[in-house]
Amino acid sequence: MSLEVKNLVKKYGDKTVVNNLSFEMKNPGVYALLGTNGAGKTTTIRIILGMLSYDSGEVIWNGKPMNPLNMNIGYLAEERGLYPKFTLMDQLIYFAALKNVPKDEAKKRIKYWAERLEVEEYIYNAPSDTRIKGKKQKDKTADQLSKGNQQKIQLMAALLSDPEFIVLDEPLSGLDPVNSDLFKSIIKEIIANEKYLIMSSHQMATIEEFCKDITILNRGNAVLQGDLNVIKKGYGRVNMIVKCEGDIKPYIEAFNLPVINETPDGYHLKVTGEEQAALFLKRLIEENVPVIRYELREPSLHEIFVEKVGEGNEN
Amino acid sequence: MKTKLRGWKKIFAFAYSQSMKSKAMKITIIILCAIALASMPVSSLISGVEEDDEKPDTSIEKVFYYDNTGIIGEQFAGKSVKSEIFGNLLYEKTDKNDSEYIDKLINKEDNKNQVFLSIEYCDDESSLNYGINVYAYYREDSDVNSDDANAFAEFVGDNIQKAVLLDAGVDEEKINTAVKSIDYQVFTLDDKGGASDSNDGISQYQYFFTLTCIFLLIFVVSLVGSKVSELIVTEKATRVMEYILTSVKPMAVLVGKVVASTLIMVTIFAAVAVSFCLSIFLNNSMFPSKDGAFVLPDVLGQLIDNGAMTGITPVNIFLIIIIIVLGSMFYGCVAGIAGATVSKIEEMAEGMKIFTFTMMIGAYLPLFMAITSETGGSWGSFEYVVFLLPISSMFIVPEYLVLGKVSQSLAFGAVGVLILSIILVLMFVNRVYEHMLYSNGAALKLKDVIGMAKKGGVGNGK
Repeated sequence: MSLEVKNLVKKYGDKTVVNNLSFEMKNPGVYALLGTNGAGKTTTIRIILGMLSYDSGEVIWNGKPMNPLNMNIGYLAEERGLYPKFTLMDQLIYFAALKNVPKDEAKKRIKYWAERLEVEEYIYNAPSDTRIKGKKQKDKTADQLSKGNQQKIQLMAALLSDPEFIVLDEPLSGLDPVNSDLFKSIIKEIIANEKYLIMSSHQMATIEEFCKDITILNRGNAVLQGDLNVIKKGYGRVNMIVKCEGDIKPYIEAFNLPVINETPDGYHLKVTGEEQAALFLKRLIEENVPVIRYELREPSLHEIFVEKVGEGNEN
Repeated sequence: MKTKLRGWKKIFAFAYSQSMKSKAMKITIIILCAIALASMPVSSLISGVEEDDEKPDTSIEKVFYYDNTGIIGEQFAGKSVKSEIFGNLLYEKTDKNDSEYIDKLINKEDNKNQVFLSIEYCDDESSLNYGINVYAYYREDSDVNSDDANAFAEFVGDNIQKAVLLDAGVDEEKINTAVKSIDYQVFTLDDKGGASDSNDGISQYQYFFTLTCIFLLIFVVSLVGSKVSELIVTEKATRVMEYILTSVKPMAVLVGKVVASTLIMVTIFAAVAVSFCLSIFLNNSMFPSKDGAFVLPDVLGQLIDNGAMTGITPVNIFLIIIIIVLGSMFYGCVAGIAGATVSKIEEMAEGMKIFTFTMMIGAYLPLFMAITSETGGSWGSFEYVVFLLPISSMFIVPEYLVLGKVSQSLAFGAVGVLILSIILVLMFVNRVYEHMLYSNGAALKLKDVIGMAKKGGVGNGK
């Protein structure tokens, strides 16, 4: 199976919100769609999921034009939504039914995911021994849940049909560290099960943790695409962190190195390449400056993102 | 089209079951059923009290009468004209007319509970008083009150024709036949032998029936419209729509909601109708008639007696149900579009303006047509426009079918136009709904929606 997006164009009137976008997922795994707010990520996702029409281009699944209504797709939308006044069980069974999951099977899956996401107490009535005597326990509705727990219910809804293709739009936003780890463990499980997953997030660390391939969108245009490791290697090891005893500012000025950041951890500097970094280190040693920390690494996704989106906006 | 509608049954089933499960809906149905169930017995109780109050009685003890015809007063005084209420009155003839007698009535102390009746015939054709005039006078300081005096004057006025015929020696049975009101109806026959009332005007009973039905149908349309719109806006506002649209197309969402809302309306009305039938049975067992016969509610009885139900046939009942259901679905689709123009529950009233406006036009056209018909007028061929127009047909065709005022072929025409209109609305929905459902900003104006339809909003994808 594979997903191929070819020359996708979407316009609203005169405004082009997705401009000639192409990318491919040849193998199961996670593909990241990155971009600032309004870059066209959600529109692209909606087009892929068949929710929005488009002006030109193609979305191909397994060699044929993609028909999402004939596929088993799981979707966690950026703008979360649950019926506030309906019971959680009712709406989960409904969402499963929309994906053609029979009611009994849906109940089994709800039980599994409720345990996995630690939300049984909200979906099922309280056990009889904990009930208030003589008072009928009512099923919980969505508006009685915290934002994080609502997010868990929605992730359940997305995964209930055991989808082959999953889209998670900002899956970790608004979660506390504990629940964030819980979601990450589920994403790892999805990857282990060899599913096709498209993820959109502003949390670059999360993307780096899970995604092999990325597309960075800016104002509807793809400004950077490809394998994240290859992209990083292409930049080379140009980020240097140096911490020394004493002031090294004169040496930095002498080498004319741009300072990205100055923290208690040391100076974050930009070098032209490994040679310049080696020369700088050699000079420090020659001058008998005690070096506490020296690190030379590729730029982070965050830095690449800021650079690319910044460039795009300047142009 | 099949793909675009796929999944509508699931949308329908969930919307219907959740709406029926809601506390507000349960309370509404219970209240409406309780009112329907209690309506007949309570009505009988009230009318029973009124009947007790209206015992055949009057405070009038004696009538002095002046009669220049010389024949009418005698029939009343001689008790030839029978009356349960006024049968025991004492009559005394006087030669003095009203102006001469009034002094006597006012000044004499023992004349208190008496009425002076003046029956005067004027044969001057140029006079405003041409014909027989009846005047009744009573003292305000007597036990006789306005109701007594008016009832007596009405009794005399209603029976003058009878008194004249009695004086002429006509048999009382023949008189009763002669003075009965006479109804007539003219029918036109179509080439299939179907009869429809050719009379443009409608009687007061038919008018009352039409008016009641129009208001009932406004309630039906409002119920369906507000429900569809509420369901759509709720899903837009809570962003559930985003998830649903990964499984079904926007048209399936609308069709599911419209069918669910229509069925909710049918369920409510079925529950109320069953309660009303039970109420009739309850009333018959609580207040059985003297002869033990099954008694229909007064209103229904009067409508049947006055020929207001001549069109009740199996085909017409089928047509009535189809027109109401299709009309509700048409308005449901309009409400679905109106509801999708807004994204917040609190903006729903603003979004529904276009729906309310359309409904008002649709309901007021038949309403004014019925008013014109009641006064004997006609809108001529424009009436056919009202019968066939999709916004107005459901408000007028069902009751006019019952009254026999429209032919079945015209009703079938209205069904055809409604089906065509629903298809056209759905085609419009297909062009604009996708973008309307995703718009989350300010409420969309009509021109925005028309603009979307012009652009189509759709390229080659899907």
